[in-house]
This record gives sequence, structure tokens and C-alpha cells, in this order.
Amino acid sequence: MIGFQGFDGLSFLNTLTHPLDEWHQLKLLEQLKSLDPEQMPQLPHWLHSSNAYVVLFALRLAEIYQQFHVHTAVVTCLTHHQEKVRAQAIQTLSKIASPQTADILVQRYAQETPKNRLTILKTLREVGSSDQFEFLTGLLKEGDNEIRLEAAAAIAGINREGRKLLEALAEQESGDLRSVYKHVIARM
Amino acid sequence: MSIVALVLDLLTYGIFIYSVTLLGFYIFIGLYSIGESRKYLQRNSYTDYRLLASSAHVPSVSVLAPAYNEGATIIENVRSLLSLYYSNLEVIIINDGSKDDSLQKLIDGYQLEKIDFYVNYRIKTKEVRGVYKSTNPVFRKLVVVDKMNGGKADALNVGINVSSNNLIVCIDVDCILEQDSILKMVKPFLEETGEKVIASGGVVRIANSCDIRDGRLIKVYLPDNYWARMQSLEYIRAFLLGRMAWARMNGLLLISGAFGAFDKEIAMNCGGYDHNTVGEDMELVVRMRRYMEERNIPYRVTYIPDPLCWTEAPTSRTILGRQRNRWTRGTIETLKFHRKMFFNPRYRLLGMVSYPFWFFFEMLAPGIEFFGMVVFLLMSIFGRINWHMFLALLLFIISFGFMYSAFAAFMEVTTFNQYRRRREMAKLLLTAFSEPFYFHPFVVWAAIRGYWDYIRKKKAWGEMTRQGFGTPPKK
Repeated sequence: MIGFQGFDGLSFLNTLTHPLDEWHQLKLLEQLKSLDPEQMPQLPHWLHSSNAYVVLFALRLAEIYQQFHVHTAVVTCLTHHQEKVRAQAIQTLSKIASPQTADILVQRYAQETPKNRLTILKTLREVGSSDQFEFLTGLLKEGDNEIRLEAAAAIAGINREGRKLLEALAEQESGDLRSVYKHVIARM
Repeated sequence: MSIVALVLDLLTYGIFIYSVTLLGFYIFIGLYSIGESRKYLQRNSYTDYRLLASSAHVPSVSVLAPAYNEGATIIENVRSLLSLYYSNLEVIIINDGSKDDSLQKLIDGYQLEKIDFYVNYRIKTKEVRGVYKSTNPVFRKLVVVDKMNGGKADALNVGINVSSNNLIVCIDVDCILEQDSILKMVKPFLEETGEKVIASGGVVRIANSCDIRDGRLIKVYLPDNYWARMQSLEYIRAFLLGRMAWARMNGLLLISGAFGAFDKEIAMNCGGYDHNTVGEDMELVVRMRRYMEERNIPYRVTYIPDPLCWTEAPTSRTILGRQRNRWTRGTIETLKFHRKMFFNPRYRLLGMVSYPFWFFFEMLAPGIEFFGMVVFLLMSIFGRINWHMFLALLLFIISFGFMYSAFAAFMEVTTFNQYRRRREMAKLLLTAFSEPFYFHPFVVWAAIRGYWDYIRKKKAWGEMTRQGFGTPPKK
């Protein structure tokens, strides 16, 4: 269908009630790769679909084809009942971020699952600014080393100022926390 | 009726009923596997795996390969892994405190340097001495971890701790993987809709006598060595019939340590590989399944029948004996750890079918067979054998065994057909004739020694020397 009709071939998503597993999503994305990217007017509709698989696929399309016009609809997906959909929404926001995206993600952080919290921190690395340093340095004091690693990576990844901040913290600290900072700095 | 006669009758009928049940299971497994094999072939015949494997949208995967004293072949083995066709791949080699020059060879061969790396010991393991990455961007997928010696399970746990992706593929470093093996293994995880896929097993095939160059399988040949050839038949039976049927029932308990994919989060929540058993591969799968059952989370353990992983089989009785001895101990240990599930309806199929099958027909089978032989010898000494009946049953059981092997060979030819030359299939069937007289008694005896070593609390793996895939054969 996609071969013949291009992006219009995706109109089956309007009425799809069956699961569209990741394997089939991958195959569809590969089919679409050869086509010229274009606006997808039906995307907001898919993002509000009652079929979570359609929402997931629409979020992927928004991410890959950087569909900035669906930013608000993607933000509503942050409260979706499925953890996987919320995770993809967080990831999608990294590619279609607005100036408010980082704050929205910080607000969501406390309500998220441990897995999605890590995804938020990964996304903040790309969409955050110095405004998030206070929030992120607060996380460095938490006990979970995985959170510490991602928070440190976010600080160092945001901008040069963040990297300097992390280097300064690495000088002050010792033991485990210093190793965490060194680990992150080595990857910058 | 005297007490002796009563005991002998009980033994005779007991062993007879046991054998009939076992044969019934074999017939069921053989027939039940057919549909699953056909379904798999139909569903996958039009998929271009190469195209999809190069996609940027495939999930990231970490391949974990523990290595201990593999200095002779480590450079080629790693090269083979780095050449796997998959775009988002991380290859983690865990040097488990090798006494040889494995690490130095890796450092020199792949221009490695030690990096600042924080190891988050989410699973408790032996100490990591260092993590190495290549300065050459060509080898950016490669991560080498040097750790204190702690055994295979401990090395795999380190790999889990160090890996950065949620899908992990655990392999033996000296295995030869097909180019598209990673995507095929990952596919069941991507097809997940209702039930969570927690693990996926792959077929392991025998690589002895095959043409292997630069870590790649060029041409498949049937092993020249008798023991390896016999194992080829055994593996075809086990992987193409047994595991296929168990996977269809969602009752698979064992994923070979040589090649298996796991959901890292579930594996970590279960505590990773258990280093207190020599059967760590089976034990992890059983523990992961138990974890899901106890939380009432719908799940599946899947299985890929494509011949994706090729390994060198033992070619001598000594090494084969050690391997089978270890397998027996591993099975006993795993079943003992999880004895709570035995005929426990709370664990549904796992507790009511899979576990009891393994208990009666995998763990106890060699013991019962050995015991049966002893009883037979005693009865023949005391003249209590009905020789006509004995010969009829002997002929039946030998014929059944051969027919079962022939059926497995037939399934192989009609599905994946790796041994394409008629001479090879004829040789394989001829080998099957010898099984009940030579190979089978040997593996039963090795298992009996496994019982004995288990009782003696022996924990060693037993040295597994390999010849390596050096020179391509002349065919």
C-alpha cells in the first residue's frame, strides 16, 4: 500500500483496531524511508487513537520526520496509561522540542516509573538548558546510581557550562560519586 | 506369589509404564513440532532480514561473550562478532581472569585503551579490573571488560551490569553466528503484543568439519568424527523437534548458554545468572519464568529454529563425558533450587508439565535406565527373563529410536536442509543405527557419573578443550 500510495497508504491507521507490533512498525518505517518526507495531516488523529499501537507508531513517525506541529498532541501522550507509549512520547519530544519541553518533562518526572525517569533524563540531555541544573544536581544526591549516571550525563550534555559544573563536582567528590562523574566526562 | 516375584513384577511393570509414557511424550513432541516449524517457515519466507538489520530503527542490542583462556582464537572470534549484520550493536567481551594472554592480544589487536568506567554492580559480581574501548572508530562497537575470575555465570553478570541496552544476547565467544542471527533473535521481542517476551532461544548446530574462514561459516559439512556426528543428530532431534514443541506450548525451560537473548530488566530483577550451579543457562530461564508466574504477568519464552549458531562439539569421549556429566549436575541443581514448583498448580504449565517432564524424563532417565540394566542383568542371571518378549521389546525400542532419528532427519531436510548432499544424510542415518549400542550407553554412563559427582558436591565445570576452527577441510 505504501509502495503505491506513499504516506497516504498509512490511512489504514485511522481504523486499525488490531495490534501493530514493533516488527511491523519497523517494516513500515523501512518502506517509508525511500519516500520524500512530508507533512502528515492525520498524525494528530493517530496520536489520539484508542489503539495504543497506533499512538506508538504515530509518535515514532513524529520523531523520525520531526513533525513539530504535533508537539501539543505528543505532550498529551505523556499521561497515556501505557508506560511504553509515555516512554516513546518522551523520546519523541527530544526531536520536536519547544522552549517549554524541558520544564514539562521535569514536572512529569516525579509521577513516572523508574524506567521512564531514565528516559526523561536522557531527553533532558538534548532539550534541557541551564534552567534544569538545579533539578539535575538535586538528583545527584539520590541513592540510585543509575539515576546519578543519567543526571550527570544530562548536566554535562546540556552545554559547556554543564560540563564545567560536572568537572568541578568531580574534583570535590570522592569514591563512587567521583567514579560516576569521571565515567560521564570520559564519554563527552 | 513370593515377595521376590512381587518386587520383580513391580519393577518390570514400573519400568514398562515409565517407558511407554516416555515414548508417548516423544511421539507427541515429534508431531506437535511439525506445525510450529511450518508456521515459522511460512511467516519468515518473505522477510528481507539484511535490509531490516541495517535499519536505524532496530532496537539496540548488547552481545555478551565471556572468554576464559581463549588467547589462541580470541582475535578471530571477536572479529566474527564485530562483523555481525546489525546496526545498533554493542559487543561486550568479558575476560574472566584468563591466565593466558587473551587480554593483551585484544589490547594489541583492537587498539584498546582503559577508560574511566563506572560499573554499577546491580548484580553482585567479582571485581572488574578495567573496561577497555578501542581508539580506532572502526571498532566502536567493542567493549572489553577485564575482571577477576569467577566463572561463566559471574562473567555474564558483569556483562549485564556493563551493558547499555535492554536486550542482551548471551553467547559463547567461540561460536560462529550467522550474519543475520541477531535480528532473527530479536524479532520475537518486537512481535510482542499481549504476552511479554522474556527470553528467546536459538538453535545450536555442530560446526566440526565445516568450512570456516575468518570467523565465518562458508560451507556446512557433516562432521567426520563419529562423536561429533552423533551429536549433530542429537542436536537436530533436540532443537528441531523437542524445543520446537516445548516453545509451541510455551513450556521451554532451557535456552542454550551458547546462544540466547534475554530481556535485561527481567533478568536483572531475578538477580542474573546463578554462579552456584554449573547449569546457569537453564537455571536463569527457570528463574525468570518463575518470577513472571509469581507476579501473574503474561509472558512467553520463544524459540528460533533457524540454524543461527554453530559450535564445536567435543570429539573425544573424555571431553564429551565431562560435558554430559556437567549437564546432569546442572539439571539436578536447577530442579532442586526450584523444587517448590513440582506439580504445583500455581505455576500452571511450568509446574504441572515442564518441571515434571524434566524431573522424570531428563533428570531421572539415565538413573532409571541404568537401574533397569542392573535389574535386567540380575533377572537374566536368575533365569527370570522371558527371552521372546525381551527380544521383541528390544527390537521395538531400537526401531523406535531409529525411526525417531529418521523423522528428525526428515524434518531437517524438509525445513532448513543444512546437509544437502545425499551421502551426508545417508551417513547420518547410518550413524543413528549405532546410537543404542555405543553412543547412548556412553552418555548414560556419563550422566551416572554426574549423579555421583553431584553427591560428592563437585562444582567444577570440567576442562573443555577445543581444537578450534583452524584449517578448512578438504571435501
